[in-house]
Amino acid sequence: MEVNLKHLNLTYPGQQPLFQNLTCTLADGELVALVGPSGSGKTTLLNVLAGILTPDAGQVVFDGTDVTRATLQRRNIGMVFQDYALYPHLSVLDNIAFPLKMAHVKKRLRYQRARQLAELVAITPQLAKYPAQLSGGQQQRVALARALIKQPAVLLLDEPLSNLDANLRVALRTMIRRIQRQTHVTTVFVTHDQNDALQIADRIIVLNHGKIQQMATTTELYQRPQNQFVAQFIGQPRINLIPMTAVRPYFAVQLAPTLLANAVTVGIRPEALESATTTATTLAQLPVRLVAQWSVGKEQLTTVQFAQTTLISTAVPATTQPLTTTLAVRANGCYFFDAEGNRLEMGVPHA
Amino acid sequence: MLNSRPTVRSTLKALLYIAPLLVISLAFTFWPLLEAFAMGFYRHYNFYLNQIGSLSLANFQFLWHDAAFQLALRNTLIFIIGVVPVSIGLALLLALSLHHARHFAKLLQTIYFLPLVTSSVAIAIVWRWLFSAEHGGLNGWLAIINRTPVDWLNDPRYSLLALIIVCIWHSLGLNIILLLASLQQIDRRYYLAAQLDGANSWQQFTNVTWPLLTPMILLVSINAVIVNLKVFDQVYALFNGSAGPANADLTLMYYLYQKFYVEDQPTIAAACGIVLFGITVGLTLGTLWVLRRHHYPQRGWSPS
Repeated sequence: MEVNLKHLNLTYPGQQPLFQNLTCTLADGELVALVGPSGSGKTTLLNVLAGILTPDAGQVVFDGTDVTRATLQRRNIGMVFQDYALYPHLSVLDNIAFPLKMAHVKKRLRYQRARQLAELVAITPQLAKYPAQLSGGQQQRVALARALIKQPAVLLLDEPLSNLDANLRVALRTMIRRIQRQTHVTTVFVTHDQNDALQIADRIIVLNHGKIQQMATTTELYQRPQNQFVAQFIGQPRINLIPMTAVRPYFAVQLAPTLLANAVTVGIRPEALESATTTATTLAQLPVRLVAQWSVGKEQLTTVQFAQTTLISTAVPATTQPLTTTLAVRANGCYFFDAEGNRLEMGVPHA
Repeated sequence: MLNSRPTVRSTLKALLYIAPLLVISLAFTFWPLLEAFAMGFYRHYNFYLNQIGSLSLANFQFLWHDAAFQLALRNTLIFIIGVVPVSIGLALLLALSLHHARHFAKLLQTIYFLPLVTSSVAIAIVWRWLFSAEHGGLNGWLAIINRTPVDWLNDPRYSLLALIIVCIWHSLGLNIILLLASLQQIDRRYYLAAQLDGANSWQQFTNVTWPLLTPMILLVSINAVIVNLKVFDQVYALFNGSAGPANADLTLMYYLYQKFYVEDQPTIAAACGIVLFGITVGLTLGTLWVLRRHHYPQRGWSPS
């Protein structure tokens, strides 16, 4: 099902407007991750989709049907809450079958369907247990099965992985991806962990202060961030930000005059800061002082001091070189932002 | 401290701390209780000199054949059946309305709670006026709907009903507050989930509210049964120190009171007390048994 959000406005009582003219489209069968810092409006947007909140203005459209004022019951939404909200007095089987019971499906049929769903989320051995007897990961899978059993138009997942430990997270997000592919249900999932989003989403919406900063695929977000916020939010370790004035003397190439005139901040991805072997793609050469080096797994991290700024690099091999050295900035992985934080096109750098 | 195991020394120390209350409880609660229990089996007993003739079941045989006791037992059972279900049903209805009330919720809660903190004697006096044959409020309403007035307090056919009405009203407050507290405990997200799962209002009530409220409803029921088995002061005040017209409001507790204070038959009263105790324990265990069947694992259970 295609989902359209059109010109949404929403203001919580006594607060600044959260959404102003928010518009976006989710394609049928797409898995979209909603990321952003706390208070950016992720959960609010999810609640608007679910019908828990009604926007002050604008429309929510499912496949051409305006559902802005439709009740929760009529929207056919499957939702997994952050702490799952499983009915404590019902067994796992009854929890999963609950939506069908509400739809007056015959007992035999709904249990049959519930068993199929339980199979899909691999919870079959726990069918007779009660929610309080399950681990967090098991509860999450039950909630997922319950959300899927009525074949929802849209599946909404509110921080589905945040209460789980690292191993389980990876296993479950892979499962979510697999099931989403199998069922082909349009899915929105909220997360504050960009890793989850980057790993499984078709597209990612980056939200900040109620504004969509960018909606794009993982690769595009990383390689062509719309603005400084997105560049900073996506990527681990974070992008290095340096004032333009500090870098200006060290450029190895001629930059376009408009770029020079408008750029205020330079962003350099950690992997674009390499040991100095000048190549055609080198944009600048920065004289730096080595501060520290350490390795995390297969990644070699290096911090260096450049002017007033501490920079981090993942492209400097372990070294016993002198403390002062020169690092090259690769053009691919270097961005310029104007005073408002918008990314400026670099144009073709010429040597 | 956390790892310390109880020793003889620490146990003695703990005992010393609880000693004051323990002594008072033993002397004024447990001892009289045991004495009263034993007294039910005494024969030819002189209460003032504490001279015991012999031990026997004669007091219970007397109760078995006593028409007044049979009447009291019958009245009490009718009374319980009349009060408990209606009172709890009404309380649930009112608690649900209060839970969904947007305005004046606190004020209404206070109003419904008032009967509980008012002395039952004062309440009975107000109700005596309401029940009065000539100028009573209830008969005023009956007149409006063109029904013949009823002499509530002097007609044996209606006086037990009058008592039931008073006690339903009196027990509402506590039941409403308990049920309301329990309602407010139910996580709002269960309702959101149920709505998303397609449940309408009635389905939300039967599938979420009712099952999650069941433990509290049973608790309230046990409490209502115990409290109402012991009904006495409302009878005493409503009927001006009698058991109603033609003993129509004679309850077990009133019977016990009469035997002990009026007729000076402490052993019969004690035996009646034992019977009352037995009924209370029986009904409570029965309700607990039902509660056990409705039990579902709560949080804190370790997964097996």
